[in-house]
Amino acid sequence: MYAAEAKNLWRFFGEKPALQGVDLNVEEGLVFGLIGPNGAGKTTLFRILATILKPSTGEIRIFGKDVVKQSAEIRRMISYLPEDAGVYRHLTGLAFLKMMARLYSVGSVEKGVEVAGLGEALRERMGGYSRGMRRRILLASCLMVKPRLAILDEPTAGLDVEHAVYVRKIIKQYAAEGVTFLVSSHNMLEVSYLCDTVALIHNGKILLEGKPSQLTASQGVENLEELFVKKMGAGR
Amino acid sequence: MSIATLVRKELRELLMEKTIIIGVVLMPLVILPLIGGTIAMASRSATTSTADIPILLVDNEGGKYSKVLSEAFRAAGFSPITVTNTSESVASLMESYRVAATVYVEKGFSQNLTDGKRASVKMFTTVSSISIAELQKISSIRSRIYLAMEMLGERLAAETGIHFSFYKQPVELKSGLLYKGRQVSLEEAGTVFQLYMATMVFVPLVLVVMVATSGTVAATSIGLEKEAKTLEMLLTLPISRTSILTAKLVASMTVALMGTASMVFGFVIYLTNLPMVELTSTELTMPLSGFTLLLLGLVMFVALVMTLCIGILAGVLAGDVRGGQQLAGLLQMPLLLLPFLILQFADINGLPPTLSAALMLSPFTHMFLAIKSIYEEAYLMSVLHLVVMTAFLMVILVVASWFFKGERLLTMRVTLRRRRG
Repeated sequence: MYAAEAKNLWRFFGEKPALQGVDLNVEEGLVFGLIGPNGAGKTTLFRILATILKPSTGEIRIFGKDVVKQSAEIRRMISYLPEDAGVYRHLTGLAFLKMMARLYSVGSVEKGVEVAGLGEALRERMGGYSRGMRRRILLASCLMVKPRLAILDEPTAGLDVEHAVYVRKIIKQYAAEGVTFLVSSHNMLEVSYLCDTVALIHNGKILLEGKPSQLTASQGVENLEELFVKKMGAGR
Repeated sequence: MSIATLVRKELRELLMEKTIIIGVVLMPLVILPLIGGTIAMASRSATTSTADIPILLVDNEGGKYSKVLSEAFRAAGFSPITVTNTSESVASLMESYRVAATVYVEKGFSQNLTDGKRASVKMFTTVSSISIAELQKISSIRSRIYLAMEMLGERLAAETGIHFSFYKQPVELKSGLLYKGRQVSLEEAGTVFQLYMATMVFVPLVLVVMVATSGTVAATSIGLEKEAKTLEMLLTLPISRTSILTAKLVASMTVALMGTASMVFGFVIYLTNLPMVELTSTELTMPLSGFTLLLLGLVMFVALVMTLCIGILAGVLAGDVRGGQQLAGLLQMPLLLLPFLILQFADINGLPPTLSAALMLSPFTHMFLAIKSIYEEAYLMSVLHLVVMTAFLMVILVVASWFFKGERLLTMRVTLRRRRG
């Protein structure tokens, strides 16, 4: 059983197709990277997987469950970190983690406190957090609830080196513990470092899918960055 | 030159804002003529309807000039009903004959006029409801009565050959007022009017401000989620949309309850501190019993929750806090301000049927009418208005919930501002 699978997935916004016949298989326990330019359809695909948008046509399943018909069950198995996710300014980091623990029926916030790594700042209101601190507390809330699939839309976008390294380290750590990750990023070095499998999406279509090393070899390029530029150039 | 360039830039920026065009230019063009037209219609309606209102003439004399007075009433546009030598009370008579005014002609009336002396009559008018429209109607009746007196004067002048100016006011009018079936003194009438201003003008005015604020607060609660970008994550948590909406409503209702409690408490303090003439009967005042306060509280609470739902709807439709607040204002203000302003000047029953029906389509019309009914002790009517308000609340709740549950919560962006970039 795949952690996530999509068959001939289409999604329209008005007349405009955001996804055009996407087929995708994400194996359980792996870190799957979705790369593509802005407006390629990454966020739309993630939102459908996260059950907040519905597909126009096609089939999409998470651990065998239909995202439209069994969305409530899916929400118990996944966690989703949107690209620009914000925080509740008047809540402290600790209060936020406690709220998430209650909603997911997780007994303790110990894991969240550990992942966030914010020390005493957890007792401060999140409104005063830096972008990096906010991303860390949100990532902690996503992982402390023990999801089977974590969908992270550009988890390190806009973070300084220190915070970005920290986030990548945490993802690696949880992936080793068996959590499946579906990650999007514009940072090809990050994708190479984190992902077991990569798919390149452009204009709502999956152009390539495979292991990073296989993809670069098959396309005769040095790295994912070159691959990206080559395919995008061909796509234009 | 640089100032002119900047002014051009500022003007272009300002005039491209839809909120400025709607709020500053279009709203006054629409709302003010609408209110003016409505008030004019209500005034015409109140004035013309008096022609059909009968007047009771209690003729305890049966003399020559009491008959002339009856003819003068007819000429002034009344339909006089004459009753002779009755000992029935004025309140009972007015109720039996369903008249808004009664004039008593006592013995000696004709004799005084024949002798060239000023005669006197007692005039009673009844106030069926406390409203500016009712006062306007009474004023119109009184003007016609004065006109009838002038006609009587003209007749006297023609008969006796004395200059008309002498008989311009041949009769002294002694006025009395009936309210809630009992005769009230002028001081009491003043107090009743003061109470009217307290309950029917200031309280709804405060309510208008409060209700408008609540709507924008609810819109803000969703707008904040969108603006702070917490909404997407919230929607993927293992909780249903119904639970999220319920939580927002319960939190907002808690605020609304606090607002209602503070409003009722403030209202009681306000009424008890009014510098009023002591009334001879508590029947004239708005009874501050537990029941009326409960009813008043319920009306205010339902109105507030209704506004919160409109606010939530606006929050769902708009993209951010500012957009939500603007949209909430735009949805609420016509529904709230038009009935408030129109009902200040006109009685709902005195309006043309189409306008009256259109006003009834605003849930807030029922709020104002429910408060008025409580004041007039028409509790059944007040409860009926409350039921209608609750029905409106249910409809708004269903619509808000429908929008909240769908994808529109994420994808819909109704904006009153110019789209940038």
